[in-house]
Amino acid sequence: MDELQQVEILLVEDNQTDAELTLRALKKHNLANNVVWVKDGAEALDFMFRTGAYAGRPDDNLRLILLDLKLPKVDGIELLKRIKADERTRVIPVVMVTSSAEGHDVIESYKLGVNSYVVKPVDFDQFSETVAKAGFYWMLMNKTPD
Amino acid sequence: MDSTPSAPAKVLVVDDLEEARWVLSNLIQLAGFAPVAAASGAEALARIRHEAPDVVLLDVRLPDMDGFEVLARAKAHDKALPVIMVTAYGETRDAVRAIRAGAYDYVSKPFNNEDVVLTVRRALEEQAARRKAEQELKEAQERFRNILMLAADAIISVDEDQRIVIFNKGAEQIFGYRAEEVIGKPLELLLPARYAEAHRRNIEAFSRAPETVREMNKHGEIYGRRKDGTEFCAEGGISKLIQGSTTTFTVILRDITGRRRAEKALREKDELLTMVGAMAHVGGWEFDVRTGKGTWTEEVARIHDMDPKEETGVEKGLAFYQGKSREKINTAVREVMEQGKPYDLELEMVTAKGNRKWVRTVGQPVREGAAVVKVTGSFQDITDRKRAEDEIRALNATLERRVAERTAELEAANKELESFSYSVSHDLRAPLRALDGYSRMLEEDYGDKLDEEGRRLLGVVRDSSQNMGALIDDLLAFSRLGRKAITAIEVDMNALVREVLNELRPVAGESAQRCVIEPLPAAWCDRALLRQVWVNLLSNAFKFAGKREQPVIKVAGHHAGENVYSVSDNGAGFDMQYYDKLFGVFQRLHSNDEFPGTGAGLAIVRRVVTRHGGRVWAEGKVNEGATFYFALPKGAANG
Repeated sequence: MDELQQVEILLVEDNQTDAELTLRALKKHNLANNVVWVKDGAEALDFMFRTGAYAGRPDDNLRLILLDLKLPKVDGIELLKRIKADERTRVIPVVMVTSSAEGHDVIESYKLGVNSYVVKPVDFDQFSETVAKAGFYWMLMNKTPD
Repeated sequence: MDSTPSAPAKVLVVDDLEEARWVLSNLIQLAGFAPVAAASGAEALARIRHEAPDVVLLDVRLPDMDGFEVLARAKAHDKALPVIMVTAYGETRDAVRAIRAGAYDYVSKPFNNEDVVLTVRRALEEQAARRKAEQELKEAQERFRNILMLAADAIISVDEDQRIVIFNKGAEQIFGYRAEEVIGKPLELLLPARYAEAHRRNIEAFSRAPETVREMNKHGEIYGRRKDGTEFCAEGGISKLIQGSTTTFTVILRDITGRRRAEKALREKDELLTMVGAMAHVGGWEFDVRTGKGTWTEEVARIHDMDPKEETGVEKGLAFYQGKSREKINTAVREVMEQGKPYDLELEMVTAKGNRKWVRTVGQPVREGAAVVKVTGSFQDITDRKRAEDEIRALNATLERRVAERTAELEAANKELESFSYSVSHDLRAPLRALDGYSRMLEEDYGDKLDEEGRRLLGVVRDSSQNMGALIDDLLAFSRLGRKAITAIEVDMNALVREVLNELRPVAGESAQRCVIEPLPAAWCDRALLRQVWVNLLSNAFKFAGKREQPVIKVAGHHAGENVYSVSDNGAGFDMQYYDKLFGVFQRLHSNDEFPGTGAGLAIVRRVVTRHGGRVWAEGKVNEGATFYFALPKGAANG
């Protein structure tokens, strides 16, 4: 398996700074090599199902989706539904990366089969550690047999 | 006596001539009587006295005294004794004199046997009849006297001087006097003094009045006075009996105190019923099924705006209803009359004066055998109640609408608050994360290019952003508390405090070891929320006592009317003059440098306890420590 060419983590995040912080956190823990960052739900769908701008994208080995709840166009909950409803994506672990544990979204996500959720703390060290932990854990758990 | 056949009538023959005595005696004997003879007036009188003859044959001429003399004496002895005078033939003057003097008859000498016997027999028969009549009279008198004397009513007779001559057993019983105590005494003895004069005048008037009987209660109640001085209410009549020149007044009295009392009680009960009826606007009625005629109580008439004296009946009663009410009452009345089916209706009626009223009418059949003969029931003015019910209904409707409106408003407000919280947590924290994260990146990537002051400044940026993040988190936690529903269960506070202490041990350090927990009463509360209360209070205590060389933290509790819990520490304490700020949100009595914190902890404590219906308070002294108390209602946990 050529790891350099394989996309293993999909980050769906509309907030530029949060995305950069997340990427940095993943990088810090050597998880950032195969990350693709998309800015909204529609783009995420295109990427996952190889449609639109991503039509013809080679098949990959997507092993983790980091999903922000609040997204433009197609929001996180809707996206989660689509991921869990599709045969091709159902088994990919989804970690909700959310600004807060407030509201019904978290409960709703659990019902829809989210695998973890991470509240983005203000403290970067803490944030980086949490994102890395969740990412590492699910990447490990979801390791496809060689 | 004479009437018994075994004892022949005794006939005394009085004559001075022996032959005459013999002839007469013989004749008497032959006639079946028992002759007794006397030869002189004296002897005759002696025999009359001692032998009590039934009839006397007395010769006018006697040697010792005149026959008329004997006759007079004999009559004086026994007025009823028949004396037949024997006179000389042709001496009609004697005969007339004899009859006038009281002789029964006379026979003339020389006498005719038959004549003598017949006369004697007639005298005897008359005598017997008279005696019998006398006896009967005596018995009758006795009987009447007994009846009179034994009567339960008081029978009192007075003479013309108002002196008591008859006082029967009833009178004795009623007045408490024995007859011998009052006989001959004035009647006034038996009257209350205030009536004596009027009574005397009444009797005098009555004695002159033509009627012989008069009722005494005509002009109101009359009263008697008993021997013990007490008075009683009586009723009776008075009669006057005129016998020759004497007039006797007889009063027949009956003690009616008991009856009066019963009547009074009945009247009072009736008045009470009428009054209660008037107060409750309720009354009763009935009507005769056959005639349709009826009666109703005054109150029922009043409800109809009718004169209570006016006659009523079923037709008249039904005429007060119109429309639906009329249909209902018509059906009900028909069914109660035909099938005996009782009814209980609330109807609208229009009174005689045109007032609209709501009434409740209840009807019950009265049966004779299978047939319903009467219908009786109650009738109540329920206009006020109906009006109140209408008002309540209207109020309820308004209230429900207002509650619905208010609920909708609250729901809207809650939604708004929720979305506000969400955007606060989501949108406000994002820039903070950038502040903190980018300062961190700057520090990591360019730290070696900064001097110490540069790194310090970067540190301040990071601390501030983190602090603001904590503030936002606490604010959200606090607002969540206001919305979270309380699920109260019985909570073992001892276990809960131990659990919290274990959790705090890593941050509390040594202080946790020195914490003293006294036995705490169980509480009826939401465990998760109370857990937060203990976390906040204990971490405060550890925080403020943490700088002491020998921190002392004590948890205590007791139950009085409520369950009271407290956490004391010997830490920095506080100045009581700032007590008002103690439990306010984000109110702090210490600088962040001294003791870090956002100021939400005690506000959360107060909010949780207040939402449980409890209260919080505190005592403190600067540098000596503080004690925080909270009290919870006992709830189901401690009965």
